[in-house]
Amino acid sequence: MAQKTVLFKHLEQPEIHRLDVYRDAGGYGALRTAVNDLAPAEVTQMVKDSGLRGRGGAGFPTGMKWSFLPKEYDTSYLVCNADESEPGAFKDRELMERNPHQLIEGCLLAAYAIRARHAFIYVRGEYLAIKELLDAAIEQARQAGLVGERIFGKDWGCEVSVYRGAGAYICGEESAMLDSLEGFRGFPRLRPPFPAVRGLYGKPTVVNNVETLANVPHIVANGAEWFKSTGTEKSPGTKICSISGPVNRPGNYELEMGTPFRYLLEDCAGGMAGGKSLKAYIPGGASAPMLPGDCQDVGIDFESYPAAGSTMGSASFILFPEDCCIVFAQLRISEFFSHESCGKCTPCREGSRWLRQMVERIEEGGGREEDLPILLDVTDNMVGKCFCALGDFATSNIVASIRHFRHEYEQHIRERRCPFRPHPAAEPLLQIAGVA
Amino acid sequence: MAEDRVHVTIDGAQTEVPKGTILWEAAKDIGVDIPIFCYHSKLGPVGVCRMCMVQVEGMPKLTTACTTTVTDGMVVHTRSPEVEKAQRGVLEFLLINHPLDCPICDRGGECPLQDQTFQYGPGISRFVERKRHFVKPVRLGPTIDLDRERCILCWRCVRFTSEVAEDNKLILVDRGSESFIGTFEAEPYVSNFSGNVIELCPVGALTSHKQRFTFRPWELQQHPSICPHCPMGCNINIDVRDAQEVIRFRSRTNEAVDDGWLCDRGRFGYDFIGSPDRLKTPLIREDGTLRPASFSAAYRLIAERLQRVAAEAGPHSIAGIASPRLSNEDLFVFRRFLRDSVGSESIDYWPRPEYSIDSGDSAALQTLDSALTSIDRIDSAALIVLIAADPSEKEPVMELRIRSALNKRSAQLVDIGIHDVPLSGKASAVLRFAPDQIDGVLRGLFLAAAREAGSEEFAGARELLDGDGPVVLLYDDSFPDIPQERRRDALLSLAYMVDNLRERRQVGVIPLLTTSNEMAARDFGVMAPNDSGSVWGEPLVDRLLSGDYRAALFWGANPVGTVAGLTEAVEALDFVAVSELRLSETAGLADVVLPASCFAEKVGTVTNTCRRVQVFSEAVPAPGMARPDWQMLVELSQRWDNPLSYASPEAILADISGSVPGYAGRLPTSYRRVGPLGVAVKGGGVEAAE
Ligand SMILES: Cc1cc2nc3c(=O)[nH]c(=O)nc-3n(C[C@H](O)[C@H](O)[C@H](O)COP(=O)(O)O)c2cc1C
Ligand code: SF4
Ligand code: SF4
Ligand code: FES
Repeated sequence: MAQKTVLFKHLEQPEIHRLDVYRDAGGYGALRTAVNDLAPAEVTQMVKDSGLRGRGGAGFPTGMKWSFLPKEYDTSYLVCNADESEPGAFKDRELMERNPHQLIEGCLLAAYAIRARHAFIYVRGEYLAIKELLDAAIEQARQAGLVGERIFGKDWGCEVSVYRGAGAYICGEESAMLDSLEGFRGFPRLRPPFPAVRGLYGKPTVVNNVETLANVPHIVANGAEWFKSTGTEKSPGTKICSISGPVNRPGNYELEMGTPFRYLLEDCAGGMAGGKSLKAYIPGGASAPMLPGDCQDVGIDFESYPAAGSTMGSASFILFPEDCCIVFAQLRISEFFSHESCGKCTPCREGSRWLRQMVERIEEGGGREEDLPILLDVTDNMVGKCFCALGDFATSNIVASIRHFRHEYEQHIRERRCPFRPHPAAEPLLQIAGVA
Repeated sequence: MAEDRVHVTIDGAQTEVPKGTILWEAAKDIGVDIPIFCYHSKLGPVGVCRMCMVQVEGMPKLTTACTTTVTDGMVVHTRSPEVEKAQRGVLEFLLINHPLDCPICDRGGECPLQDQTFQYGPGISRFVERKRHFVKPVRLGPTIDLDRERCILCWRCVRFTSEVAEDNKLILVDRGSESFIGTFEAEPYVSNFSGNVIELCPVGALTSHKQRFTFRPWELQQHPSICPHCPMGCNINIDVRDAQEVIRFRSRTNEAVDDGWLCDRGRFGYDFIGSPDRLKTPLIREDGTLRPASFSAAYRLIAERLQRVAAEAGPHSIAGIASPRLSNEDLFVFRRFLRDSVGSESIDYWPRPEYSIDSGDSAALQTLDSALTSIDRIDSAALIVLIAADPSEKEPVMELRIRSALNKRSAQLVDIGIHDVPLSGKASAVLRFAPDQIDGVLRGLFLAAAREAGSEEFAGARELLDGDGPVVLLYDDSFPDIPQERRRDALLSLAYMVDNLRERRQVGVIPLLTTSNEMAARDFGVMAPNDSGSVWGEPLVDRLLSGDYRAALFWGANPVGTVAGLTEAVEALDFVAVSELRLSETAGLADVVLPASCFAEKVGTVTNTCRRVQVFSEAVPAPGMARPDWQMLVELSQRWDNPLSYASPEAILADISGSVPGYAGRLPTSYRRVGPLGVAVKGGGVEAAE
C-alpha cells in the first residue's frame, strides 16, 4: 500500500481546474451516464456497494446516509461541508482549489441520487478565494449546460450555490451548518429529527464532506468493484492526508487507506526536519487524541486508529517534535476548543473554559498536584454529556496528553515552571488556533 | 393497552402514558423529580442545560429527559451513581462562573439554582481560576434589569420571546463561555409581555427594575387574586410584605384562562393599591370645599338629598352609574340598591359601548350571547377570526393564546378589520375596508352576489370561512374604529355572520370587552335599558347631558373629564354622590364622596369576558376608613324603607347564584366551592336580571 492518485489528478494534470481539460480527461462523464442511464436509486446503490465512508471525520457509510431520506418528499437538498475548520486539516482546500469541477460533479451526482434540485457548498469564511473560484467554475459549467435547468436535456436540473461561513468551527457540525446556511447563527440542532428527515429549511437533506463527494464521480465512472479494490476491506479507497509540523515536506498526500503512518511521514513528508525525533502526533486534527511518537505502524484507516487509542478523523496529522512542550501544545488545543465552543450547552461551555484555565495555570507554573485528577474528572463530566460532539472533542487530548505525558505535567508542577521555555513553535501554532 | 399509549418504568415504578410524552413529564406524573433548568412545559425543549440527564437502559450514554420521548418498554433510572455524578458535574459547571451573590440576590430563597444545588449539587467547588465577569446590571428596557454573571444561559427567556411572544427581542450574543443574553444591537427590550421572563428565569439574572433589591422572597405572603386590568381575568398571586405592602403580582397558572402568562399592564399595575392619594374618609362639601366627615354624616346627607329629589321629581330622576371595575358583589348590590331601595331604573355603567340598539335587535344579542365560548376553545379552533378587534390592545394575554393555537395546532387566522394589529402578521387572510363599510363587508361574505364581485382579499377570507372545523370569532363590540352611527349595524351584521357560519360549523364567540368586570355589569342589568327593557339602551352619560336628571350616583365611574360637556351637566345636578378610590375628576364635583376599598382589600368575584366567575381574596387592609362598595351600599340602604340585608359578600354571592339568569344553578354559593380556578357560567344573562 502506498501513494495512489485518484482525487489528486491535478498532480498529473495541473490544468485540470479548467473545464475543457477536466472534460477531456473524462470529467462529467459520470454525470452524463447517471442522468442518461441510471435511476437515482441506482446511483445510491452503487455508492452503497462501493463501501465509501464519509471523509468528514466520522466515517459514516455514504450510500447508507443517502438512503435514509423518506420515501416521499417534494423538495430535498444536498449540502457539501467545506467548512474545514479543524486545526491541522487543509485537504478540502486543495481539492477545491486545484480541481473544482470534480467537486461540482460529485455534488451534482449526489443531488441526482437524492433527487435534489439545489446543492449548497458551505465553505469556511476564510476561503474567500476558493468561493470565487468555485463560483467561476459553476458559471462555466452552467454555460456548458451542466448546472441549472435540464442537465443533459433531461427533466432533472440542479443549481449549485456557494455559501461562505462567518468563522465558527461549530458550523462544520452538520446541523449547525444548516442553521448558518438558513441565515441564522449556527447552533447544533436537537436530534432527532436528523437532517435526512428534516434538514435545510425543514426538508430532507444530505450533508457530505468535500472529499466524500469528490470520490463519487470516480465510483460512478469506474464502478463499485473498482473502488473496493483500493484500501482495506472496511475502509476502501484512498485518503487525502494533511501532514503539518516540523517535517521536511509538509502538505497533502493521497494514500491508499491502510497505508501505515510511517510511510506518510518518511516517504511522503521526507521525515522529521532537522533530524529531530517525533515525540507525539495527532492523527485526525485537534479533536483526535494524540499518540506517542513511536506509534508509527498504525494503518491510516477507520479501524486501525481507534484500535491504537485515537481516531483517523479527517486524517489531519499534526506532529510534535522532541523539544515540544506537550503541556503548551495542549494549552493551544484547549484554547481552540474553549474559543470555539458555541456555548449552547453547560458542560462544554463551562468545561472547555475551565480546562483551558487549568492547563494555562500549570503551564505558567501555578500547577498543583491535585490538578491532574481534577482535569480528568472534569473531562469525565463532559464526555458523553454535551449537546454535540465538540464537547467530547475538547476533552480528548487532555485525557491523551495526561495518559502519555503525565511526567511532563508533573515536571511543570514540581518545578513550578515550564521546562521547555522559550517555545520555538509558539507563533505559528497561535495562528493556527486562531487565538489572539 | 391502547394503541396510542406506552409503558415506561421509571426507578422501578411502571406507568402508562400517551405516545409522544416527554420523559420528564412522564416522571413528573408519577412523582419522580428530575431536576431541570432549561426545560419548561410551556416552551419547546432545547436540551441545553444538561441537568436532566438520566439513564435509559439500552442507551450507551446518559440522555436528557427533557428531550427524550418515551417509547414502549423503556426502563429509566434517575438516581444511579452515573446520573448523580453527572448532576453534580453540571451544577459544578453552572456555579464556577456564577457570582454566588445569593445574600443580595432577589431570587435568593426561591431560586431553582440554589434549591437544586442543595439537593443534587457537589457541596464544594474545585474551581480556583478567575471567574468570568460582565458589566452589570444591564438595563434591558423599561421593566427588566439583567445580571449577566448570574445567567446560566438556559435560553428560557430567549425562547419565550421567539416562541411565545414571537417578538424575538431577546437573543444570545457572542459565543462559548463569553455568551450573554441581550437584544439586537442593544436596542431596549420593549414588549407587552416582558415581565414573564422574570418568572421564567431560573436564577436572579432577569429582575424587575421596579422591585430590584427591595424585598426578600421569604418575607412575602401570597394571596390568590385576579388581575383587575382587563376582562381576560388572568389569575395572579399578590405578594404582600408585613400584611401591608403589595410587593408584586405574579402569575398563578390557570390553563383555562391565562396559560400561565401575564401582560406587563397587569403584572406591574399595582401602584394604585397603596397609593398615598387614596381616600381614607368620607368627604362632605361644606362652603364649596370637600371636608372629611363620618360615615353616618355622609350616609345621612345622601339619604336626605336623594329622598328629597325622589319626592320632587320621582325616583327615576336619580341616575346611578357604576364602574365595571367593581366586583360582582358590588355591582349586584348597586343594582339592588338603586332599584329596590331608591326605586330608580336609571342605571348604567361607564365606560361602555357608545351606542344603543332597539327592541327589535334583541335577537342579534341573543345570537351572540348563545355562541359565547371559553378562552381555551381557541386551542382547538380550526379557524380564528378577528372582527375589527385587537386582542393585543384589549386583552393582551389573549394574543399569546392565539399565537400558541396558530403555532402548535395549525389553526388559521383571518383578520377582518380597519387597520393592522400585532396579530395581522400571523393571518392567512387579511380583509381591510373603510370604517363605514363594515356592515356590507360582513354580510357580503355570505351573499352570493357580493361573493362573486369581491376582490382577491375578499376571496381569501371567504375561502377560510367556507372551510371545516370549529371557528372562534373575536370581536370588540365597542367598535372603536367604526363611526358611531354605524356601530349598531356592525353588531347586527356580526350576529348575521354567526348565524350563517353556524349552519355549517361549530361557532364560538369571544367579545373583547373593555373593563375587567364589564360582563357582570351587563349580566346584572347595570346597563341602561332600551325601549323593550333589555339592557343596551342609550348610554346614561349621554342622557345626563340633556338635563333629564336631578341627582346622580357615580360608583367608581369617572366620566367627567372624558365626556365633553359633562362637567357642566354634573354641576347643574341638585345632588351628586361618588364612591371612589381617589379624588377623581367626577369626585371633585360631588357633594359627598365615599372612600372605597379596591379589589386587593376585599373578598369577592369577577366575571371575565367569557363568563368565568373567579374569586379574589383580601391581600392588604384598606386605607383608613375605606370600605367595600357593597358594604357602604348596604349601610346606606338602611335609611330607606326597603333596606338591603347582606351581612357578608358570600351572602351576596349566594343571591347572585340564586337569581341571575345564566349564573343560577351554575355558580356555587360559597367562595370555597367556586375554587381557586373559578367556574364558567354560561348562556343567557344579556336580558336584564329579572
Ligand atoms: C464540531 C464539529 C466540527 C465539524 N467540522 C467538520 C468540517 O469542518 N468538515 C466536515 O466535513 N465535517 C465536519 N464535521 C462532521 C460533520 O458534522 C458531518 O458529520 C460531516 O460533514 C458528514 O460528512 P461525511 O459523511 O461526508 O463525512 C464536524 C463535526 C463536529 C461535531
Ligand atoms: S458541545 Fe455544547 S457548547 Fe459545545 S459546541 Fe456542542 S452544543 Fe455547543
Ligand atoms: S437570563 Fe435567565 S432565563 Fe435568560 S438565559 Fe439567563 S438564566 Fe436563562
Ligand atoms: S432540562 Fe433537560 S437539558 Fe435542560
